[in-house]
Amino acid sequence: MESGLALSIPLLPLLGFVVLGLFKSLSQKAVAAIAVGTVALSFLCGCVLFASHMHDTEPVVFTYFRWISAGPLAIDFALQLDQLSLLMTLIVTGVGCLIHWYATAYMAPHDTVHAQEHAHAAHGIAALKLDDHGYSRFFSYLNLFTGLMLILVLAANYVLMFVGWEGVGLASYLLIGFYYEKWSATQAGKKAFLVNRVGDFFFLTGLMLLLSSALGTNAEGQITASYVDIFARAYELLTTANYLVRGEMLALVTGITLCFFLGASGKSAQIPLFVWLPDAMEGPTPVSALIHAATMVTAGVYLIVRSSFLFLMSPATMIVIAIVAVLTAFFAATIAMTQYDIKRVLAYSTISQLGFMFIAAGLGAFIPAIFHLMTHAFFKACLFLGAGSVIHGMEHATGSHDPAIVQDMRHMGGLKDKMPITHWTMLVSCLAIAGFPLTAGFFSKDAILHEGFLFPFVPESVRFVVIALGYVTAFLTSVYMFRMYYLTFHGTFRGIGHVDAAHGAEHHAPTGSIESPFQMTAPLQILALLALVSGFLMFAPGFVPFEHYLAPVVHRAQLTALATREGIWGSAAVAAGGHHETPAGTEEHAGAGNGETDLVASTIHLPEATWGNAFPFYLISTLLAIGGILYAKSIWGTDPAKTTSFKQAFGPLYDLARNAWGVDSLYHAIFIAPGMRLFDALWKGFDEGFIDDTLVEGTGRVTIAAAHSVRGLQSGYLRQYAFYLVAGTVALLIIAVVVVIQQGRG
Amino acid sequence: MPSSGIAETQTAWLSLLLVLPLLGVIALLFQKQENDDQHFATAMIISLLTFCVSLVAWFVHGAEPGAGFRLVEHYKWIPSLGATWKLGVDGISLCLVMLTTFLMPLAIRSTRATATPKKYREFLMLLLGLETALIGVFISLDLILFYIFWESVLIPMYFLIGIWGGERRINSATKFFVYTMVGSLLMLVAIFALWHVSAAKSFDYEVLLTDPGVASLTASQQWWLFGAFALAFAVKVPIFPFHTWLPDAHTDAPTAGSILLAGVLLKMGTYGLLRFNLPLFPEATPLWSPFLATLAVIGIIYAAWVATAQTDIKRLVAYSSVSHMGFVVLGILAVNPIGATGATLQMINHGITTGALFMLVGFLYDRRHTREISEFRGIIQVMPVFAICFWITLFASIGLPGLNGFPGEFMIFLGAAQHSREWMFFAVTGVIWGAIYMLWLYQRVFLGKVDAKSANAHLHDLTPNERTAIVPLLILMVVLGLYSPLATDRIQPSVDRLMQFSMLNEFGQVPARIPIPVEPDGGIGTTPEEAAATSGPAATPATDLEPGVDAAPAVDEAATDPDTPVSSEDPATPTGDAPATDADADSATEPNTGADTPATDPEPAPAPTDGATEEGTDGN
Amino acid sequence: MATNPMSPAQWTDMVDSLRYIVPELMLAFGAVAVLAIEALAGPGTRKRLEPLVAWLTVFVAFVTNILLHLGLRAGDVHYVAFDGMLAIDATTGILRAVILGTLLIGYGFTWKKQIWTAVRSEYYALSLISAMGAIIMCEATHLLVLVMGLELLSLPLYTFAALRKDKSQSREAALKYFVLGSLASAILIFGMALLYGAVGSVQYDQLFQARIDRNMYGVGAIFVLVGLLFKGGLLPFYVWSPDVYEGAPDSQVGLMAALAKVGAFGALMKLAGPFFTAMPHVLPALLIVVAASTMFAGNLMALAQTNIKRLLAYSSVAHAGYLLLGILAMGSLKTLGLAQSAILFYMATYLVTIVASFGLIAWLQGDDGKWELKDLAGSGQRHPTWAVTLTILLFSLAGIPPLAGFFGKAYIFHAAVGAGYGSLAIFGVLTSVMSVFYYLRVIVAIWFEPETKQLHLADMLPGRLAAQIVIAWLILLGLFPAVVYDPAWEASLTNGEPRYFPEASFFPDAQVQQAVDAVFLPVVRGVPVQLEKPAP
Repeated sequence: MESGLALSIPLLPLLGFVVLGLFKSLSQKAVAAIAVGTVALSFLCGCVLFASHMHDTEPVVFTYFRWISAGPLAIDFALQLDQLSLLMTLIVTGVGCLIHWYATAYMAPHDTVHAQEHAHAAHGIAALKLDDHGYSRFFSYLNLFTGLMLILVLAANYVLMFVGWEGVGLASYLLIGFYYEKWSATQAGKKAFLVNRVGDFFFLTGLMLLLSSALGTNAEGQITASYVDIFARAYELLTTANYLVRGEMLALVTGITLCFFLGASGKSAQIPLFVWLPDAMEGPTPVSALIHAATMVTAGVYLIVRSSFLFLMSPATMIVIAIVAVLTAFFAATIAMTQYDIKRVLAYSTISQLGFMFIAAGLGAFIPAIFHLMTHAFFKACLFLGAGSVIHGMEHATGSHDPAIVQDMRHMGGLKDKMPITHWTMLVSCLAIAGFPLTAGFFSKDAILHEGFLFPFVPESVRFVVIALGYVTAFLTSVYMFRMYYLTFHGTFRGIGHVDAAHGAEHHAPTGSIESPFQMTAPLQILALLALVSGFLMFAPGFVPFEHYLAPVVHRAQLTALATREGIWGSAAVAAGGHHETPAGTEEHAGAGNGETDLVASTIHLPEATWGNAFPFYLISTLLAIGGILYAKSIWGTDPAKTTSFKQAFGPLYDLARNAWGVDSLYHAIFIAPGMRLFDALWKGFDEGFIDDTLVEGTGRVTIAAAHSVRGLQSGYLRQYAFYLVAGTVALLIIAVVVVIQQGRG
Repeated sequence: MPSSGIAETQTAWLSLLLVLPLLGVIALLFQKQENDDQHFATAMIISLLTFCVSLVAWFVHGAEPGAGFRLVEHYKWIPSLGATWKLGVDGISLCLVMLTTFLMPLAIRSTRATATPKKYREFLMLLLGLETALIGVFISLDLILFYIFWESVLIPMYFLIGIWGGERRINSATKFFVYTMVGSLLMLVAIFALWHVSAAKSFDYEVLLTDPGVASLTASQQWWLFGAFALAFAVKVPIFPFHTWLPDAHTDAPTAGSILLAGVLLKMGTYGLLRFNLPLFPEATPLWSPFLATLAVIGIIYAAWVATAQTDIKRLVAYSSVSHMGFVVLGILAVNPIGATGATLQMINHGITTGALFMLVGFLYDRRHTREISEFRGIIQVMPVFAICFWITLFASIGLPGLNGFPGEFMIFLGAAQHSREWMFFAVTGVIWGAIYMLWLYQRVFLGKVDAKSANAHLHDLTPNERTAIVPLLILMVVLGLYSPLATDRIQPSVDRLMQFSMLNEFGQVPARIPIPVEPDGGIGTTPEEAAATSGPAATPATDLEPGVDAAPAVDEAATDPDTPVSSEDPATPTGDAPATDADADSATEPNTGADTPATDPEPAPAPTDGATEEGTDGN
Repeated sequence: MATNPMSPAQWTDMVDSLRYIVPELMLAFGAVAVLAIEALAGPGTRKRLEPLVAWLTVFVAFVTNILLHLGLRAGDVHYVAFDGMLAIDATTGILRAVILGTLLIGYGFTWKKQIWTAVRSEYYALSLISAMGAIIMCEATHLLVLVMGLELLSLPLYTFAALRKDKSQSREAALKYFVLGSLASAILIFGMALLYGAVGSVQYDQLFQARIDRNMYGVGAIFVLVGLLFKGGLLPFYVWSPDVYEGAPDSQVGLMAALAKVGAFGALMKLAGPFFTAMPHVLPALLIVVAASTMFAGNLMALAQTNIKRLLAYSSVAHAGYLLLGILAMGSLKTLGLAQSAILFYMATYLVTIVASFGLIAWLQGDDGKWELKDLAGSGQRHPTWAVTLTILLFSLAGIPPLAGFFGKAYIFHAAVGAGYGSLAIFGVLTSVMSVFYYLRVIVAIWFEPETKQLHLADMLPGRLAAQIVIAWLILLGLFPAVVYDPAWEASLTNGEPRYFPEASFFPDAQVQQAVDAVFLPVVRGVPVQLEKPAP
């Protein structure tokens, strides 16, 4: 029963994908119903399971069939239900459901075809067959994505997770390139997939290292790749294996986790693989909201938290993650500071926020990471949808459909009264992301910086640097978010003519409200509400506090890591083996029913977050948030003319940041351009020129040339033939003599 | 069951498989020309019948449990040479036979899609003849028989390329013929050497597997024979430096020819490596695998890079299949069950995927009569269904999980990783390169705005004929992607059995064989009597079991026993030899994890010990 | 040697023993009969009668031979006439069948060929006689008889070349052939004289050791060898063949090549025993050099040819090289049987193939002997049957399975490998790749190239029958070689007691291998070379 329920969670959206993909002549309403319905249903299933598994201490695994098997290899198609996977399920399906709903209006044909309208005007193709179904196509992709994302989070082993991992990459490739007539869109889609593929390469490498190592083989000598087996094995080796073996294993684990991190950085747009996310904004806005803000990009964080056991075994990796993450967060923020395309601002802020989650993961504060993942899903989805609504309005206001115009904040301004609902929802989520006190972002971001600072998994100095830079980034965040807010909603509506009239459509101020329809504003308000209150889940009145709720997933790993660090294995504490009451409430969930861990728990404690040690952090972040808002207001609050002064203030740095610190052009210069030259040279020069022409066909040519050269010997003169005859006889005689002499010697 | 004397009588399904297409050839021969529909119908029916027969074989094979050869037919053929007409299938060959019989009707179907080739009757006759030869390669258990089919494949393919090919067809056809022949002839010499070495003076594969004379070859003698065999296979696969015949042959071959060339012919090489090189010359494998694996890895990367630079769609796909076959070779050379199973699975998958790719390219060519990528743009707007088919095939071929490309690739990577992390690392980069050239191709051909003035604007979408040809392949891609055990359940036991003969244990010997001391020169030219004289007494010290032929069935049952774990070297292993070739042993079965204790050996020696003991029991 | 006066008992024995050479006698009578008809009968009857008589003669002889062969029990050798100057055993039985069968096929192709009507009778008479000569060469156990057979074989062939009186080229070919042939015969006879001096007899079974003078024996043996190599057309004694083949009438070339080869190699098979025994180290050396160079040069020269007949001529040179490889393999005791049966099988497939290919060329109407490859272009479209037949023949010559030619070569290489000539075998297969290349050139011209000039065929029912028989034969042997190979194997087991020296040891494969091991294996495996398997 429950297994069926679990299976139906990913299957429902996939079913929707199949239906929408096969039956192309469905009415718009039917399409909308199927698309939203399937996701809503799996949301309900998720809720049921969520409720029933809230207090589990051990993950529940449902195995459906043997998927890959060869020799010792035995990979099952199995789903794992624990607090983490179920929470992710709820986020994906919940936010996903809202965004589906929003999209039913946003993608309605009269809007979607705008990309094609130029095309139709341009040439006489009667009807673009596919685009009659652009609507259902969009939702089939969206459902495909949701289903695969659910497989990713529910999978019980790394291989099945990889299915979802690659699958969501595929879906995002399809959705970014949704307007396949726009060359830039197809480019962006390709770029996204290929960069992700680089990440996948590292993920696969790490996976192979893991599975081919001692960690990969479970007690029965099988390679199942399932989380449970691998962590059990790792724990067993940590505790039982001799010193050398453990050392080797830890070295190997560092390699594995580094590979995993690089994989995660591909999916979650961290340095060095973040370049694809800004371009991904070519896709329709709901896609950006769902995939590139709320869910897919957080898969990397999920991977690390899911593998926390391995990551904690390797301090080196943790340090690398923390530092890379904070750099990502910082630089992304600076870039966001300089963008004018509203969606690009949000894209870079997403990268920056993901940076925060990785900071948490790197410092071992996994629960705050997930917490921030959740709150970020709310307010960032809200922001993107709001941006979509703004763009929607701009299209009405300017009559233009060119993204370069309607997404440019320099053409906006004063939309506050034109689009009231959009305005307040976006204001709320801006406050949230800026970390304004008592909003969701405030709590989650603070939890990251606070717990990250407390946890002793990386050296003090590293922690200090990271946290400090984190706070700087927090300040920048509130600045650029409110820069966006003010440029968009305050001041006077600037329209097209303001920047340049080159775009043809003459400038006219919008009259009356251009607010979006209900299907769009309703999700906005729900999300805004969540962005406002979801922070309180941290204390969860009448509810399991978030900390304790996720504890079973990560605490055991954290305690084991601490124990390893202190080298207590084999010491009396473990040898004693008595089971006594654990002091801190947190450990009650930590692998109860598991003797060793309780022993660990009895000797090792994680530092507790208390009001006392939390207060200074709260204070700092409050000040930074408010300060940032005020700074933004002072510059962009009234007239955007001051932007120039801001620009001059930073000079070349500004321009550098504007081009994303030149990373894109750098990659192009290092990899792409030389690569294509090399490939061409290899083909024409080496493959066809050398191997084929010189070696292969050359052999033939030489032989035939030789043949022609010896033709002369066959002159046709009798005397010559007679000579050959005699000469041959003599030759034979000589050979004979030689041989005889040899024999005589030997 | 195998190698138990001459003439086991049962329904001769395999001979039927060989004869049916020939009947089709004859039937076509007696039809009058230019009656295309009739020709087509005949060929279609015949090929479908063949497919049904292979299905029957599939189920008959499934009925009997076990890893050994099934449906064995064993008749006198050239008694004086000990060459027998011996056919049989195990899981590996059966899968490849199924692939052949499955692709053939589709290939025939595709020929009637848009444009029917001229001289259609002859075309079909050659296709059917090719089918017989291909099936024969996979099911023959006698080396001479195998060689005959192996070479016969050349003739129909040669004419298919030469008569119905593109502009440089003569050059391509000749290169294909001569190039592949060079390697094959050396293999022939090696086969003869094997005969002279063997104590039983036989060409029978299963006899040779357990023949004391063959077992007593020194490592360096095995090195030579392995080389001769490997060259033939390397050219056919093709492995990196020997690959240049392939793009030419593909570009100039007609569509149906390309489908079979990429779908099946290339598999002959990898099949040979797996079937003959590994188990016959186990001690030479660790000597050669560094070379070959390096070449394979180079091929994976290099071919992908060159593919990226291509301007002709068909050439691009051709290079891509060089790259993909590199994976297969790598999986085989990992010499462990996971890699080999993955390699075999990947042979099937690559056959399906690349076959489909060539079919689709053919469809496009029929419409536009060009394959220049720059000629196309925005095709998705005018041929959406075609675009979707191409899209699925493309992602299958770059190994997207959920489609058939992934499971095989995954196993190969893991197998390679168990053998050597370096191989694995470089091989895995293949997932990046593959994605690059495929996605770029798709973008350039299918995406963007279609130009109303160009010919592309007026292409018609796939016809029903074409859909019937391509859809079965697409379905199979999805099915095998979601449920690979469909094939691996058959492959795995046979691979395990093969590995018993191929994997060296930690003493550098092949436990499934009985070490026999003979005079240093490897008994080249020991007359039957002498060989018998040497093998008789010598067999006894190793273990108390009968030498040579009788061992085969016993080993068989050992492998067939479902509970036999592929693990657990037990102390009772017959370890007569001094660990002289330890180096080889390590490089062959080194589990590669720094952290393995005896207790936690991820990839232990295979089951032969159980095999051996059981041999002992029923040897007496 | 014979002792006189001969007692009646011996006389009856001799007469009685004659029955084993009935086929030869038949051929002789047949020849006489044809000439008689030419002399006595009127033009009309001649035309019809002579081919018939000749063909019937051969046919009856063929059948008789089969019966005789069946009558032979494995292992028994019948010495015939004058203390056994001819020895008939299973091997010679097969050779005789091959020769007669080839003659039958050849007649099929030359049936009422119009160009040389005038000399029909000569043709039939001569071909019968030279076939008899070839047979006698295979049966001879005495060098005198061998010489006799040789001349019986050769003189008709000289005239064959000249049969096209109208063509100066034909006369030139005949002259070259005659002069060189006589030179070769002279050498052979001189060698025989030397052998007699060295041994005191030229009976084969006396030649197993040099009783009187080893060096003289060596020189003599080499001279005899040269004579036979000339007939077999091996390097460098093949020089006559391309010109002669090109000049001679198309329909004759096949038979000329076939008969000469079978005679020469039949004699070599018999002489191999004594010569290998007497010159255990010299002879292999000579044969290796000759075989290798012939295989290489023949194929290499053929690569450069554009004239079809010259191309086939060179290819037949190359084939002689492969046959010699077989003779070489006879030098090793353990492969004696393999080698002999391989040679017999090769004869059974190769002779008919070459006859048929030249015969098919002869069908082409037009300027005789001037056929260039480009003339054949597109003939596959116009004359599919003819083209298919020729293609199959060429593939068989190239040794592509599943055709008889493959097994022909395969058996030879099999024997060679077994005799320890692995390297030479590899060299051989590589040269045969070269051969594939030029056979393919013909096939390319026939099938892949557009027609340049329109070809006409002189369509002859007997020819077509013959062609179909040959094709059937090739495919049959390609699928079931045992049909011929097993009898050949039985036969070769019977003759030659183990009087041969133990090992052929010219190409020291073992040494070569160790040398290469020393270089390669360390590189390959990165550890010291471990040549020997440790004893358990």
